[in-house]
Amino acid sequence: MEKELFFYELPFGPAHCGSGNFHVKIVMNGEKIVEAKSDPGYLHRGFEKLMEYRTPLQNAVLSDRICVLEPLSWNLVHAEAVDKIMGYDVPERAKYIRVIMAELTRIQSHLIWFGATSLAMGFDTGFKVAIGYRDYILDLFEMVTGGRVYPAGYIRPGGVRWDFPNGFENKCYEVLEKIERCMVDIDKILFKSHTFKLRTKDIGRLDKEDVLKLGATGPVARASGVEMDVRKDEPYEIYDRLEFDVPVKDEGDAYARLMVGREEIDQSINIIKQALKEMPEGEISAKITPFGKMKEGEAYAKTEAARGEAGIYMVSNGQATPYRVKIRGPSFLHLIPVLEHLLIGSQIADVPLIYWSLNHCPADMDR
Amino acid sequence: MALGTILKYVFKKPITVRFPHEMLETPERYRGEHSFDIDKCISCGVCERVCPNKAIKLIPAKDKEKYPKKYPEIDLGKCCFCGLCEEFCPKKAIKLTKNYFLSTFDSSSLIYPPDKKGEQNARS
Repeated sequence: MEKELFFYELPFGPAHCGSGNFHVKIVMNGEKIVEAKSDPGYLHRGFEKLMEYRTPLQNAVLSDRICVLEPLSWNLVHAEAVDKIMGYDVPERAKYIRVIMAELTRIQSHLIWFGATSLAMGFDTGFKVAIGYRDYILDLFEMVTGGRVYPAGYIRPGGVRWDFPNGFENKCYEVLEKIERCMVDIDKILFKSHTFKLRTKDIGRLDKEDVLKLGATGPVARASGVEMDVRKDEPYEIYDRLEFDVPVKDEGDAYARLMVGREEIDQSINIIKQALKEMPEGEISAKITPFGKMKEGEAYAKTEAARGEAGIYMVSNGQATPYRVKIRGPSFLHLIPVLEHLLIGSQIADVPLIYWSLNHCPADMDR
Repeated sequence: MALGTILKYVFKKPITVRFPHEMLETPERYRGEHSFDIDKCISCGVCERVCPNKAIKLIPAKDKEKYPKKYPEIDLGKCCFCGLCEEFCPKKAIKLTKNYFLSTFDSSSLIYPPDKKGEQNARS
């Protein structure tokens, strides 16, 4: 009992400038953290219930909002789940468009990740460079979908909403070139910089056993030596036809996690270039009706979003709207079991860095 | 190195524009304020049924002799600008324009009755 006199409780978030709608209760002894408790729920919007009252077409629009930073990835998961239930035959061109948009989303999401991490270190330049270059990708999104951030269900059951506009391919190549140039800058100021390495190496180390025990996926798992990627393990869309590597690191610290993300950007650029080259002409959507009833059945669709494995389990009993929808957000496991595990024993100054290195999004955790 | 970077950017044009005076070009597919053409409308009610946020309601028009049926009233405060109403409208009576100057102090001015034409009310 007497020992607890020296314990000090410090809330991290929900209004902390570096936490973003998330609250962690931290108990410290001096500068060392002895207990951490995640307190989610500040961004709960109840998608699972909302989706029970909307048709799949309307749910496609709603699925943008699951994660603000990668709406097209969530569009894709939702579309895949409905495609499986309804048995839509998605045209080839639509599959290529879906993959190109999903990979562009991955690049921009990773750029925000690097930006936010360097902001957590107090390094504003890294944030501004990353966010500035991300805007070129948003320009592409605006050109294709009409919205910079929210594509309004661009990837929807049966295919996609609109074809690529004229001149998209050339602009896409231009943007990819800019991103490659941006990565040279980011390498210089972040990944090869001595200060950044000192700050991120040996911080928040996650072992391979803990990854399997706590259920981390995506870059967090790959940085700890677990080779898992839905794109390789259970290829969806056209990923089985594309050549790409899955970067894996063994260190498991914050630097390794960020480095996995860094290498994934190169792979994504590679994937987009291949897809643009091989993209066939033709239809972009299967025949869909706005008010038809859903077929009876259930399906689980999973894809590799930027943050890890994103999944939607959907049950339909033959009504116009789904009977039940379960959303599996990758951030949920990253922010609750993994974060609580990593924070214990670390220093208070490392909290924002560990928090951001997990590549999370409070929006898709709370759902 | 730092001095070189500074000199490089001193002689570069800024990538931002002076917003209210200059504007970037809005792409063709931009989803902004609605424009509704009551003469094209056949009162089928597809827009009302397809709207995910129930922002569209069919109500009688003011001029009942000329327009005897019910026509969509659009509440921009509820609208999520997804463009499904535009996409499924069989007569292309609803269109989303490029106008994005929609902020207002009066929330009731966001409800567009069917007789109001969006383009005429563009506040730009």
